[in-house]
Amino acid sequence: MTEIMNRYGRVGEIFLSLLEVAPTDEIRDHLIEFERGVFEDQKEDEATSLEAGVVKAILSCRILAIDKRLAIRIITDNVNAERDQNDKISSERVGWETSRLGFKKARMPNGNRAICLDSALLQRLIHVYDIKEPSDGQTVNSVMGLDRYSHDGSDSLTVKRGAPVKVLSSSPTATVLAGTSVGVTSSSSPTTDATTVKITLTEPMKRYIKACASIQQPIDTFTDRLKERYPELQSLTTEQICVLLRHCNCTVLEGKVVFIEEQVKSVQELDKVTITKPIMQYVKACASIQQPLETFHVRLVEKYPELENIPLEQILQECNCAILEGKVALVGAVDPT
Amino acid sequence: MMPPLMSNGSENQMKTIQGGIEQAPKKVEIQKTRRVTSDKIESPGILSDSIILEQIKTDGSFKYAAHEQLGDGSWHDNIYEDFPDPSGNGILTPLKHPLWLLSGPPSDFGSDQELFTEIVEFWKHHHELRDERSYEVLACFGLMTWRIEQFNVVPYIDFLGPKGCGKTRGLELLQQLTYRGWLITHPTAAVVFWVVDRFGPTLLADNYEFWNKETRRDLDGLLNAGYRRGMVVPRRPREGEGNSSELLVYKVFSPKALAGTREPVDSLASRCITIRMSRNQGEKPIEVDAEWGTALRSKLLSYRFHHHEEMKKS
Repeated sequence: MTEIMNRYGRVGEIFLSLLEVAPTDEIRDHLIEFERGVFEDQKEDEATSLEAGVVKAILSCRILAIDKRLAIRIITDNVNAERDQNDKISSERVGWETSRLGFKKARMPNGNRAICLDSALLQRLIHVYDIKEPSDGQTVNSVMGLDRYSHDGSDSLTVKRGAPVKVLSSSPTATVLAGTSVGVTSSSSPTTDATTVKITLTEPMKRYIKACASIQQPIDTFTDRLKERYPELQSLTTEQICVLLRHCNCTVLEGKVVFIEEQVKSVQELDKVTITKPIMQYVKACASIQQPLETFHVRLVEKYPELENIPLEQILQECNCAILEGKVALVGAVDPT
Repeated sequence: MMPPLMSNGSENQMKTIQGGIEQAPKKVEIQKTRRVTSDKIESPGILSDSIILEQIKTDGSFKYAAHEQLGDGSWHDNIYEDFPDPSGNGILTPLKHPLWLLSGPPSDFGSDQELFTEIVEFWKHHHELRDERSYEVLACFGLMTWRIEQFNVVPYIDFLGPKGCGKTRGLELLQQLTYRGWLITHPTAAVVFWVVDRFGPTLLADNYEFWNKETRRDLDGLLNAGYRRGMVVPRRPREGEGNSSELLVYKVFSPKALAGTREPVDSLASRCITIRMSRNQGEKPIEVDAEWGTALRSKLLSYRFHHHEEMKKS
């Protein structure tokens, strides 16, 4: 009976008196069986509690820790990944839960709130909340890919606009469309006149456009975001943007940005690149914070250029991730509807 | 002498106790173990090394059933109208207005297993539970309350289900079968603290989620701590209430059962055995068989007497 108590904690404790008054062994066995059910129900409740959610989030995001410090904001984003808008948990609450779970408070280099990652504590919590550890062997100390994130652990775009401009391998050509020419040059300072817009099609810009094409982003959204990201393109008309798309082997089809067929074919031929473990870890880490798709793709290709021509969906599928409302998400986070 | 506490919730209780006789509503004075005259102390019963005394109702009057050890070491059952307080403070007399259903004189219960089987039958006769094992859990809970002195930790029962699924019926059956089963709804926190401290009843709380929010907040301590013997809840008396310089310390240990449509908060839920309920599929009696209940309580009192030794050891 003592053994049962130890194993079942409080449930064992409260059942002890009932077991003592049970008149026969058979009835006692029934009670023990019932007790096990109560215990498992409680474990189930615990496993779906907010505390368990926070532990899961820490476990998923620990790869994003800097000097064993993990930003509360990253944990919060992960916790909220599967929640409805009305059901979101505040970062204050998440911070409070992490303290309650036993993690020490810390600060990120930029002063943002964080926790100290304690691997022993995390292991204990994994056991307590019956959480399955990721099988890809992520470790708490791993800081892979951290240079891609800002120091507060935020997922805001860190494309360096002032980065050296690369000359495209394909020779720049001028295309005339609707009486307006768009010239693609290797110049680092775009110049504009009434009829001709000269822009520098940089490698990041090209990657960004391809990323949008890979998710078949609506042209309106694409245009808005492109201009927001690259203010130098602010004055481009839709037609001019279409020209720009063509330079990236993309086009507009049924109101969406897509790869042109030739490009799709070539991508299919090149899709045999192996998704290595580090790539998988990186992708999952990004998915765990639901990084916006464009940001994700741009950074992914920056980090692993060999993936440039691999369809994003294929990469995500390999890593057990998917696209959810314009964000990369772990498959568990995708609403099946 | 403490001023009498008034309880509207006890009025129905009193009608039941008095055999369903129609009475004009009246204020009921909750009795406590207190000195009524210079030598009479109202008490529902006592437990000591050499005697168990429990208030019963027989032939329409309140008496004590006693299981006592005589000078030669043998044990005997007797009925008394009152009894000398073993601590020598006066004469114990039965409560004039008991809060729970009383037993009749103790009667032979056969074996523990026979009694258990009859209790399960009683449950099955009156209630349909989804999980067959729930009957056994509830029967054991009932038996446990009659040996409460033996245990340091007790479970709570939580009847959980939608409206009309028999949660209150579950509590009524517990009222029939538990030791000093005190069935209440919407009390004030003060009354609950006071009664639990003085009498250690089996608290049967109906519609708990609809109780006054402040009451529930005040009772959090009682419910969270009351599953474990020895836990007390201190309270400072209000201005003008008794001796305001003294700290009131309430004992809160007692078996408890709740009924509601919502799960209690986590801390309370972890102390509960939840009986999940749904509407009956078959036909069950509309009213509880009070006669059978009384007969069972008489057997249960005998069961309590029978297990005196185990309680004494604890």
